[in-house]
Amino acid sequence: MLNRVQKSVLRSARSFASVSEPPVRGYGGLKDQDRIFTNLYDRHDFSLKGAMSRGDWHKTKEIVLKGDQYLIQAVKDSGLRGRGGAGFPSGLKWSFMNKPGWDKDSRPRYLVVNADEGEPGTCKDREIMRGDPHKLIEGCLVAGRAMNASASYIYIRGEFYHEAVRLQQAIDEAYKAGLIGENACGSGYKFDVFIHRGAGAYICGEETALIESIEGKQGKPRLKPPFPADVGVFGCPTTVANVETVAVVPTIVRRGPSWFDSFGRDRNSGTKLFAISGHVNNPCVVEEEMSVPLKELIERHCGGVKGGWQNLQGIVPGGASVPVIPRDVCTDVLMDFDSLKDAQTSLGTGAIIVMDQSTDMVKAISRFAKFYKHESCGQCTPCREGTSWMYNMMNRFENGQAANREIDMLVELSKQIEGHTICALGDAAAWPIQGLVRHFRPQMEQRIKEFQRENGVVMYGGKLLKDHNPNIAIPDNRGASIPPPAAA
Amino acid sequence: MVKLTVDGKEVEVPQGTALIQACELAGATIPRFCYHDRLAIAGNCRMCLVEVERAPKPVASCAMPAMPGSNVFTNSERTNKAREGVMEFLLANHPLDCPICDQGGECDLQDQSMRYGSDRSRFFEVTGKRAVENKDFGPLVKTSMNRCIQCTRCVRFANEVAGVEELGTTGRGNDLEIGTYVQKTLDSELSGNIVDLCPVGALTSKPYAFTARPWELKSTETVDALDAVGSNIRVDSRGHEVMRIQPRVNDDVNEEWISDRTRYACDGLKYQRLTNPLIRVGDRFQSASWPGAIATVADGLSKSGAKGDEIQAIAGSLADTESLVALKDLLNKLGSENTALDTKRGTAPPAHGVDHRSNYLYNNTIPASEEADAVLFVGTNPRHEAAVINSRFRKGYLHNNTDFGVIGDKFDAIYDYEHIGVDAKTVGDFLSGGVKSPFADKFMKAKKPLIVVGSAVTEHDDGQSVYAAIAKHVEANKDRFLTEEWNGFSTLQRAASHTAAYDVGFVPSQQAESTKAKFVYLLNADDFDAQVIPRDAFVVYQGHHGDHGAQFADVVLPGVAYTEKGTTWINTEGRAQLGRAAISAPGASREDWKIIKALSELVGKPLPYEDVIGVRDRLWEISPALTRYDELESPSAASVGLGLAEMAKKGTPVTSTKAFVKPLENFYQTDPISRASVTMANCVKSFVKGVNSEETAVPPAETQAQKHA
Amino acid sequence: MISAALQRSKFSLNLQPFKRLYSNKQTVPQKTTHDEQIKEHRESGLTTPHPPKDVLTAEVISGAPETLQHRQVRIYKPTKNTMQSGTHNTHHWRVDFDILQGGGRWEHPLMGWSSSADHMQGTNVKFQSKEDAINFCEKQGWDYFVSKPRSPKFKTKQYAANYYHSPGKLRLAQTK
Repeated sequence: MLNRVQKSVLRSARSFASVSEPPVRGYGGLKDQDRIFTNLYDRHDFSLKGAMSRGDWHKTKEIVLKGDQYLIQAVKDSGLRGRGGAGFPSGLKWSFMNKPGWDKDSRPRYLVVNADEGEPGTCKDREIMRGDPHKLIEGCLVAGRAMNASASYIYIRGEFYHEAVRLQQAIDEAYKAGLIGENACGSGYKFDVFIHRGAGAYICGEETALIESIEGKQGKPRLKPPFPADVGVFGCPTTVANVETVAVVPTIVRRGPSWFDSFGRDRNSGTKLFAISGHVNNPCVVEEEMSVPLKELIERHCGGVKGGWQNLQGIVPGGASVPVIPRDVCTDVLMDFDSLKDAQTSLGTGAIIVMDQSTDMVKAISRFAKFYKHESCGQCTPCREGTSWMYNMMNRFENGQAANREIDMLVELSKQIEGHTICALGDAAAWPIQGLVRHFRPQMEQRIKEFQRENGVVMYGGKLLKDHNPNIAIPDNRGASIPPPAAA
Repeated sequence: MVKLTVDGKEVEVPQGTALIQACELAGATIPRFCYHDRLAIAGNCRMCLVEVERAPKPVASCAMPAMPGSNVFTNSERTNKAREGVMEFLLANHPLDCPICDQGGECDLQDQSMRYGSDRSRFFEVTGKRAVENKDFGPLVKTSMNRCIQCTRCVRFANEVAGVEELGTTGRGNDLEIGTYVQKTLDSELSGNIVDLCPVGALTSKPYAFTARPWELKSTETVDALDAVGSNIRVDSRGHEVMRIQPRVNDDVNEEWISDRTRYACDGLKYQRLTNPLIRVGDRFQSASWPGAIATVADGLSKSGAKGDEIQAIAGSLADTESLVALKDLLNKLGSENTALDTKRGTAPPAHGVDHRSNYLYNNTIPASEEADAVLFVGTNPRHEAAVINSRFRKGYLHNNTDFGVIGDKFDAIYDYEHIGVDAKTVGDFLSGGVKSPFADKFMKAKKPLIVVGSAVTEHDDGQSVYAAIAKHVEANKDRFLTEEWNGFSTLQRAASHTAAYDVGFVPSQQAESTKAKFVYLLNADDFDAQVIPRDAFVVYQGHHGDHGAQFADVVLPGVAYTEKGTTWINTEGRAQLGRAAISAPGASREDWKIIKALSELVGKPLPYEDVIGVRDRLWEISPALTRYDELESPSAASVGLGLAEMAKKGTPVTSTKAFVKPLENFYQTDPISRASVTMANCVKSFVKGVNSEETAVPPAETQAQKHA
Repeated sequence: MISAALQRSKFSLNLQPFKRLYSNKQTVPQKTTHDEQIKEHRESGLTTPHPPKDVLTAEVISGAPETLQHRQVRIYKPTKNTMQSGTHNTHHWRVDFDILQGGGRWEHPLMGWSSSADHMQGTNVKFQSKEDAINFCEKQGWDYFVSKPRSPKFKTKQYAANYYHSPGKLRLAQTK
C-alpha cells in the first residue's frame, strides 16, 4: 500500500506547497480548552457581561500597551494566515502598515474588517458576530493597535441584519464601558469602531471593492498596486482583514503565539472555523485544528456523509470559488492551505460543501457559474464577458446540449479569464469549471452523448442541426459535419 | 529615474511613469482600449497586459508603475495569448455592425483584431449576443450602445475634462450600461470629444452619421476661426465639401480637444453662402460680375463724397489677418483712420489701447492656465467664449487646488467659484481689498494669481477705469503677478480676428469715433448694432454668408470662409498660426485680401503687394510676431509693466455700477457660420431650450452627393 | 525663371521677408531694387540669412509643365488620428499641394460631382525626414511652408492618483 505522500508523488511531478515531511502526529480532535470561539452556537450570553465571563477583554489594556512591534511579532510568530480565503500570512500583511516613516504621514489609518461573507457555503463569520461579537471588537482594537490604526470600519453584509444589530449592540456596550473610544481600555490609545452595512454584492467582499464601497462608490475593485496599505479607504493607509483573522488575535496574544502555532502543520498553524454543509447528517460550524483530515472532520463533527463515505461524490472544500474534489482525493486530503493546494484545490474560507451521489455535479457547477455571472461587477473585460459566456455554456452542458469539443473550449475560456482580471473573481469563476472538467469529465461526455443520441447533431453553440433551415448553408466551423455518436 | 528593460532594450524613465508609457518610450506599442494619455487610468479593458519577469500573472501595464530593474516582454507568447483572449471576449458580445458603423476604417477594435483576433469566431451561443438600448445624448452624439465595450473613456472624460458629471455606469456584470441613467442629454460644450475618444463605434457623430468613410476623406491641417482659441483642427473634406472637423494634437493650445461649435458648425458652410457679387437695385440684390461690382464700389465711394474719416471699415470676428492688413492699408491710403470692429463700442478706440501687446493678449499662455492658484474672472464667461481653455481651468481646479472668483454674469461653470459681483464697481472694491471672503483671502495671498479680463470689460462704458484698476493692482503686486515664469494678467478675446485687429492696428482713432461715416466697408462684420451704420451711407459687405451684415449692403462682394483660405490667425495668446485651405471657394467668391487689392487698384490707390507672400511681408513689417508661426514669445515682465502703466494712468477710479453684459448669448450661434448651421440650431433647441432632441430634431441635411445620387 | 523660383522659395522658413514695402509712415515709396533690399537686410544683422544654396531645379531635365512650377506646397508631419490610438501614419513627412486658386474643386453643373482642374490635388509625397522633403521641394521649385510637428508632452501617469487622499473637499468624484 502506498502512503499518501507516495501516491501524490506518483500522481504528478509538480512541486508542492507542503514543506514538511509526512506528519508525525495526527491532527484534529481539538480540545475544548483550546477553543478560541466559545459562543459559536449562541447558547450563552453574547453581551459584554457574558463575553467577559468567557475571557474576553481580559488584560486588554496590557496588550494594547505592549505596542505595535510586539503585537506584530506575536502575530507573525503564531503563523496566522488570513482566514478570508487567500491565506496570506497576516503578520507580514499587517507589518506593511508600519513601514519606516509611517508616523510622518498625516493621514488617518484604518483597519477594515471584512464581514461581507459572500462566499457561497460560508457562514462562519456570521456565527462569530452573532455569538461572540466582543471577540471581534477586541480583535479590532488589538489589531488596530498593532498597525497603529485610528479607527476600524466593519463592513458587514447588508443581508446580515440580525448580526449587524448584535454587533452594534456590542460596540455600544464597549463604548459605554470605555473599552474603545477616546481612551481604549484606559491605555491612552484612541480607537473607534464603526459598522458600515453593505447592499448585497458578492464583489464587495473583495478587499479593494470593499474599500470603494465604504467610500460610497460602486463596489468595483481597484488594481493592485497601489496596495491598500499605501492608498486605501479615502486614500489613507488601510488593511482589510477577515472577521475570523481579527477575532482570534486577542486570544493569540493572551495565550501566546506558540500555543497557536502548536496546532496544525508547519506553515498552516492554528485553528479554523469550518462550515460544513450539504449531504452530511449534521451540517454545522465547528472550530477545529488546521490540517485535520477532511474525512475525520466530517465523520467526527458532522456524523458522516449521508449514506456513508462511499456515497460521497465530491466535496468543495472552501466555498464556491475552489475546484471540487472527488471522493478518492477527499479521503486523503488534510484541511489546510498547503495540502489542498497540492490537491489542486484550495482551502478558501473553509466552507465545505459535501455532495453525495444523488447530486447532479454538472448542474451544481452550473449553478456556481450562474452565481459568478450574476456577481461579476462588469469592470474588466474577461470577467464580464467570460462569466456570461461560461454560464451560457454550462447551462447547455446541464442537459448535454453541446458538442464534445466545447468541453475543451470551456476550459480554454476559463484559462483565458484566470489571471487576466482585475480581481480574483475571475479566478474564482474559472476554478470550479476547471475542477469539474478535471474530475467529472466522463459525466459531461456521457450527457452529451445521450443528448445527441436523442436529438441528433448539436452544432457548436447549442443549436440543433435538425432545427436548422436546410436551405441555408452552414460554414465548416459550426460543427455541423461531426457525426453523432453511434447507437449504444 | 527608473531603469528597466523592455523587450531587451534598456530605457530610463522618470519616477512614477506607468509601465505602458515606459514601453512606448522604448518603442514597443501596446494595444489598449481604455487607456488614454489625457484621462485617468482605468485598467479595465485588460488589453494592455504584458508579461513581466517574475510576475505570476500578466500585468496591466497601464496601472503598473515602472519598477526599477524589471524585465518586460511585450511580444512574448504569454502576452500574445492574453491579448488574444481579451480580444475574443470583446468580440464575443460585439455586434456585427462594421458595414453600418461609422467608426469603420478608424476603429481601434478593427485595428487590434487584425493583429490579435481570430479569423473565425467561437461564439455561437443560441442565447445570442448582448443587446443594450441606445441612449439619447443630444443632437451631437449618436449612440449605439450594443457596440460599447465599457472602456469608460467617455465616463472619465465627462467627469474630469468636460466637468459634467453626467455619464456613469449602471448595472453589474454583463448588464453594465454606460449612460446618463436619468435620460438626460450630455450638456457639455466639449461633448463632441467623446466621439473621438470612443475606441469603437458606440459613440459617433450624429451630423456626420452615414455620410462618409475615413479613407475617402482628404485631410487638411488648419486652424479654427470660430473662437479665439485657435484650436488646431484637421478638416476632412470629400470633393468640394467639408465633411467633418477633427482636432489636431497641440499641447500648447487645445491639447486634443475642440469645442462643439468648432467641430459641428461646419455644415453651416453650405448654407446661406454668398457666391456671386451682388448689387442692390431698389430693394433687391442683383447678381453682377466682378468688374461690375468693384466698379460700383469705386463709383459709390466717389459719389458718397466721403473724405478722410468718413470712409469707415468695420471688421467682424471671422476676418483674417491678411485682409485686415489690406483693408487697413487701403483705408490709410485713402486718408482714413476709421477702422472699427463690429463689437459693442467697436467704433471707439478700445479701452485697453493697442500700443502695448500685453494689454490685450492672454499673456498667461493657455498651458500655464492650469497652474494658477487663484483665478479672478472679470466680465467673461470662459465656458462659452473659450471652451477649450475652460477645460484647462478645470484641470487646475482638480489637480492644482485652484480657486475661482467671478465678477460679472453668473454662469454655469465646471468648477466651483465664488460670485463676487456683477458690476464694474465691484472690481475696484475687490482689488482694493474691500471684499472679505475666502476667495479674496486666497487671491491676495496666492503665489500664482491670475486675472482674466473678458471682452465684456472692453465693451463696458467704463472699461478704461476697470482696466486701470486692474493695472494698478497688478503693478502693486508685481512680485506675485509678473515674475520670470508667471504672468498673471490676461485678456480673453472671444473672436478670432480681434487679436489680429489690435495687433495690426485696426482700431479707430479718437477723432474717427465722432465722425459720421458716408462710406462703410463691412469686412465679415455681422455683430454690429444697426444704429452704427448711417442710413444714407454707401455700404459694401464683403463676407461669405448672407447674415446680418449683408442686409445693409449696397454691394455684396463674396469672400471665402476659413476653410477655404490659407491665412494667418492670431489666437488670444498672440500666437500666430497659419491656416490652410481645405476646399475651393464656392461659386465666384475670391480670397478676401485679393478683393481688397482689386478694389484698391480701381480706386487709384494700388496696394503694393502682388501675392500672399507680399501681404505676409507687410505683416512682418508691422510686427514680426505676426508671421512667426506656431511659436509664442511672451512679453518680458518689463514690457508688460510698461503696458500696465499706460493703462493705469488712463482711467478714473471705477464708480460705474453698470453690470457687465454677457457678450455671448448662447454658445452655439455666435458667428455667421454657426448661425447658418442646422446642427447648431438643433443644439440650441436641445441644450439651450431643453426640447427633446429625438422629437424635434431636423435631420442633418443631405450632402450634395446624396442629393444628386 | 530659375532665379525667381529660387528667390521665392526663400520665404518659406519662418520670417525672411525679402521685399521692403510701402509703410504707413513714409509718403514716398522706396524704389530700391530687390537685390539691394536683400543686401540691406543681410547687412543690417537683424536676421540670419540662409546660407546660399545652389539648386539645380528639376524642370531643366524633367519636362514638367510650367504650371507645376508655380505651386505652393505644405510640408508637415500628419497628425495622429484622434479616433484611433495607432500612430503608424504619423512617422513620415508629407508634401501636399495647396489648392489651386479658382481651379481646385467645384460642383459639376450637370451631375453634381466634384470636378477639378488641379491635376495635383490628390498627390502627396512621403519622406522620411524634413530635410529630404525640403530638398525635394526646392528642386521642384515650389514655394513651401514647413509646419512645425507637434507631439504631446510627456507627463507621468499613476494609477494611484485616482485614489489619493484629499484633505479638503473632494473635488473629483471618481466614478468607474
